[in-house]
Order: sequence, then structure tokens, then C-alpha cells
Amino acid sequence: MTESFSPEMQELLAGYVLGNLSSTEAEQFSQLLANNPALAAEVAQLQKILEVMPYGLPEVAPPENLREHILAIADSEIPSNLPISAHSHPRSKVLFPWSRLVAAAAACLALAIGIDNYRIRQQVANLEAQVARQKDVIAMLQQPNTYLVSMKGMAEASTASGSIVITPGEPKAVLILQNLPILPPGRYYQLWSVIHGQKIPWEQFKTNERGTVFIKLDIPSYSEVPALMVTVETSPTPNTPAGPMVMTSTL
Amino acid sequence: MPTDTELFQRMQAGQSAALGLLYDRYASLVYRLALRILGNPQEAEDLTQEIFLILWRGNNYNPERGSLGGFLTTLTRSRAIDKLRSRGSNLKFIQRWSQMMAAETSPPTPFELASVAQRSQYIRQALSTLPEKQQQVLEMAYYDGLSQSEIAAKLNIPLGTIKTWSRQGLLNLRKNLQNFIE
Repeated sequence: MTESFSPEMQELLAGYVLGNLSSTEAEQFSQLLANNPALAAEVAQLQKILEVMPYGLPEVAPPENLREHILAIADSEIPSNLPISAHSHPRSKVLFPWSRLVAAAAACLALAIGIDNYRIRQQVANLEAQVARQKDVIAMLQQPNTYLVSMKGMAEASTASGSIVITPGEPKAVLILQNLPILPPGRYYQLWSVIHGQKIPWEQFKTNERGTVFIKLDIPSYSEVPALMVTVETSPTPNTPAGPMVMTSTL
Repeated sequence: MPTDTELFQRMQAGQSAALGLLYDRYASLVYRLALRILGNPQEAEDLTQEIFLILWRGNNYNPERGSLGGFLTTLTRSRAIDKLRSRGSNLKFIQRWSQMMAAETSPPTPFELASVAQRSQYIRQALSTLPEKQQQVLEMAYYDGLSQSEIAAKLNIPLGTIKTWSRQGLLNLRKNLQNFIE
């Protein structure tokens, strides 16, 4: 409880959480923190207070179609943490376990049906999202000023290829890629814009189980489309490329 | 009603419907924060999408390390301020967040048990009892990502005073919220 600390200590704690300690105070505080574990709990509490501040902002509803849009993207992706068996088994293996051990088969079947239901729902959702995206791409291609930026694979993804479809003035671009290796959980494809040699993270994406990518991207605020590259990252929010480069634009 | 953690686990098992329910619960919070910091509806919409897709793509939120609401507001604020500074260096948010939060699981607080609308009402009330200066300085630090010396320069007030106001503001806010959050 804050009450059990002196007013000076409370000031230090608040300053630490707000990041406004002077260097002398910071030194003093880090020594205190090392010797007093209760202070760390205090820091976490004050941090929580800062975190809830946004609840106090005036309520504004997000745009109506945003929910639908996010769910369509989510449905078109396979979550990385889904058990591998749920999407890597060929269907024939799970559908006909009858001829083997009956008891085990029943258990397998129950699982398979569950997985299969999931797969079917997922497939329907995927198809719907895919049709919607294809319609969008066709509409984009009908625009006179639409252009493509080609992407080519390299290194471990040497057979990968694809394009980004961009219509100036439209808020979304479409990324279409094929033959990318499927990444294990915890690794992500990261698209970067390269502007004057500076690499700026654009968007992270996943392939489907066939190694293809078909997603919409928000066009970044800079209007010109720069050079592009794709790397494999382990961080979901990288600031600079750390993993190997697997694709580049062929401008 | 399923808890945030239950929904999060269902979402991790691949149920996008659970993501939909989490969206219904938190989208207005994420969006209003993004809008407050970025000041532009299009960018706020894009960021809201980004945040929920980060949640969906998984592996970054751990329910044992803090509330989902706290994770979402911290992530949204951090990303929005990064965008605001856009060319500045990004801080490794996820790492900071996990270091920051206490590791042990504690029972849900009354705050976590309340609906987002109730939480909002409560926080608004708590903020409104702060002296105006303290509230202003806290908001400038939190939403505009300004350093204390930047705030001092903007308001033309000595740095020491700004520090005192923001620290006192945070401590007072905590006092107001103590029974609710702890």
C-alpha cells in the first residue's frame, strides 16, 4: 500500500512510473528497489493506474464495418498457436480410421469430426474472405492508374514470387504471394518498406497451408511506394529487420 | 459471461468468434485511445485493426501477467506514440510489458470484474476529482508522449512544478481508485 511509504518515497515511486526521475533520484531509487521487493509491487500498482487512464476518455464507437473486416482477416489466417495436427493432417488420414482398432478409432473419429467441423467452418470463412478479396482486386485492376510491384524470392524462399497491387488514392493495397515456405509457430513474415535506405515495418503476415498469401494492407502514410522487402522475424513487432531476407521487390 | 481469459484461450484455439467477442468488449477502448493520441479517425481505425490482429496472431499476451484491458491500452498507447514519432526508435513493447507486470496471478479486482462501460464511468469520476493542473500534465505525458521538460516548455512552467504535478496527479488518482483496482 502506498500509505505505508513516506511521502518522499511515494513521490519517487510516481516519478519512476512516469519516467521523470532526475539522474540522482533514479540512482537512489534503483538502490532502494534492489533492497526492497515491496517497491516492485508498488511500481506495478502505479503502472496499473496509468493503464486505466484511457477508460476515462470520451466514448467513441469505432467504424461499423471494422469488426467484420478484422474477423475476415482473422478467418483467412491460420493462428500460429493452433495445434499442428489440426491443420497439417491430410483429410484422408483422419476420415477412415475404421478398419483399425475400433475403440481407438471412435476416439480418433470424435476428434476428427471436431477438427473437420472446424476445418469446414474455417474453409467456408476462408473462401468467403477470398472471394471478397478477389472482387476487390478485380475492381482495383479495372482502375486506370493501378499498378503492380513485383516481388521475388531469394535464399530459403527462392521459388517464392508475387506482387503488391496498388491503386493511388485507395487506402488499401493487396499483397499476393505464392510458394513461400510455411513458418513454424513463433516466426513471422514481415514486410518492410525501404525509403532512403531506412527500413520501416509495414505489416506482418502468414501464409496459408499451401504457402500462398492473399491479404489487404493498409497503405502507409507516405504516398510513394518505396522498395519492399520481406524478412522472417521472431518478434511480432520488430523495429528493424533481424531475421533473414527472403523476398525483395524487383522495381 | 465468459471472462477475458476464457475468451482469449478460445481465440488461441482458433475460434475467431472469440476474437469477435473480445472486440465487442474492448474495441471502443482501443479506438478511443488511438483516436485521442493520433487525432485522426483513419489512423485510429487502422491501429485498432492492427491491435486486434496482433492479439489474434498470438503469443504476446499472457493472462498470468496482467489484465487484457491493461495489455491492450499499453500496446495501443505504445504503438500510437511510436506512430506519432514515426521516425523515432520503437521501444520493444512486449518485453517492457512483461517485465513491468507482476508475475504472480492475483484474484480479479472489482475493476476487472466490471464491464468496460462501468470501468469508464469509474475512471472518469476519479479523474474529474483531480486538480485541473495535475490532470492536464498527466494527460500530456500519457497521451501526447511528451517528456516532462517538453511539457514544462509548452506550458511555460518550471520543470520541478511539472514533475510535482504529474507525480501528485498519479498518486491522487491511485488514492481515488485504490479500493477498485487493488
